[in-house]
Amino acid sequence: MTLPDPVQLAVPVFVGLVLLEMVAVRLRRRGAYEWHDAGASLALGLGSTVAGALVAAPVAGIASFVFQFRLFEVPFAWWAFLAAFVLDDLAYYVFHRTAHRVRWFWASHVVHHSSQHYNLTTALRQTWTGFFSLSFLFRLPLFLIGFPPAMVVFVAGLNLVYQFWIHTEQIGRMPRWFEAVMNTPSHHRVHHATNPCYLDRNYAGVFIVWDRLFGTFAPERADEPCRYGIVRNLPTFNPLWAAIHEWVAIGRDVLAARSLRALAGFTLGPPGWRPGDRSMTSDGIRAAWAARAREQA
Amino acid sequence: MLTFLLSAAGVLLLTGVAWALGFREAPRLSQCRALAEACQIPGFRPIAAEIAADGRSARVTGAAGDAAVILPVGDRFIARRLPEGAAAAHDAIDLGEPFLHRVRLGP
Ligand SMILES: [Zn+2]
Ligand SMILES: [Zn+2]
Repeated sequence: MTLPDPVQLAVPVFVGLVLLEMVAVRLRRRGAYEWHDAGASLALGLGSTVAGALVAAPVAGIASFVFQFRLFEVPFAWWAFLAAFVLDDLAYYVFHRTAHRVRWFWASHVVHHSSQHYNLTTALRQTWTGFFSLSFLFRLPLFLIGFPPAMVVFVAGLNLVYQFWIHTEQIGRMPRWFEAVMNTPSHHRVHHATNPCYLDRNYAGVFIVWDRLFGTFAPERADEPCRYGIVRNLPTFNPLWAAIHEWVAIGRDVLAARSLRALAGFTLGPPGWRPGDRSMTSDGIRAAWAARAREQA
Repeated sequence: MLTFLLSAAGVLLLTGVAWALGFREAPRLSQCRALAEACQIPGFRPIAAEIAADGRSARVTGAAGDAAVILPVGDRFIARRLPEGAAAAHDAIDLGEPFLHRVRLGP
């Protein structure tokens, strides 16, 4: 069965909404754009589609290989699409949480967080090195269950399209019931923020229920405006550097590692890990912030 | 190939629209903003900031006798701890990372 590519179909809508948001930012004086930043985000989006096309064949090969060992025969039925969409979103949650907690996967994902702005172009700031980081591993269980690769690719595309509109400061809060179940601009702003209380929260793709269920949810607070970016923000808008800087840093640290433990820490430890020093990890930053808050209380 | 060229044109167009709409501000640092930016460095406790003449960068002194610099990136800033010894340097500072090997504060 041949299914359309939801991302390709959505591109004209993406362009229209970016233009609309730019005008809204100007008129409403809410949110922000910077032309170098927007250009870098868009270039990264374009580059990610090229990278995706280059690795499409090996990814399809791996998916077909794993699909041979499926446990069930899942038909192309509406309920199967629904189940695939929900389970794919759970797989995305697991991937995304790992991508923030394990430096190897962070090196690929960090590009999405590397802008100090939060607007619709930030959504397009996608990885060039996803295949290299082996992030496709997280979707393999779906093929093992028996969801056909074409169905999984389709729902994964829908998931990515959903995540586009939540990258905006133009929408405050959605209705309560929606905020309770779905990922929203408010929830995802928290995810992109570097405020210590927001670090490593709200990993959801489409359904925020995963974060509520697994204890990683944090609501956006009126008294704590989001500061976007990464702990150590980039000194340049160069898209290539945004895409590879953490890989370069891993390479440098691995070459300097003096023990197997250090080697493992620099690659599989949390981002910011250094031997005997957790002050630069998100847990360390959060702990220091909490200690300081207690001191001041 | 045609899709790629069309997409590249779209990237240029949207970037051009962002420029034309005036999203190219270069804000100046205040004392308060420079200290707040330096607070983003984990473990760094800023006590005083010396703003460069053009207002676009600053040198910040920390409570532990350490120092940091605040540098502009578009309409935002980045903060970096100064390597030991670099704090006293008056000309280009090497912060030891790509794009920051020859940093100058001020015009
Ligand atoms: Zn993330
Ligand atoms: Zn995002």
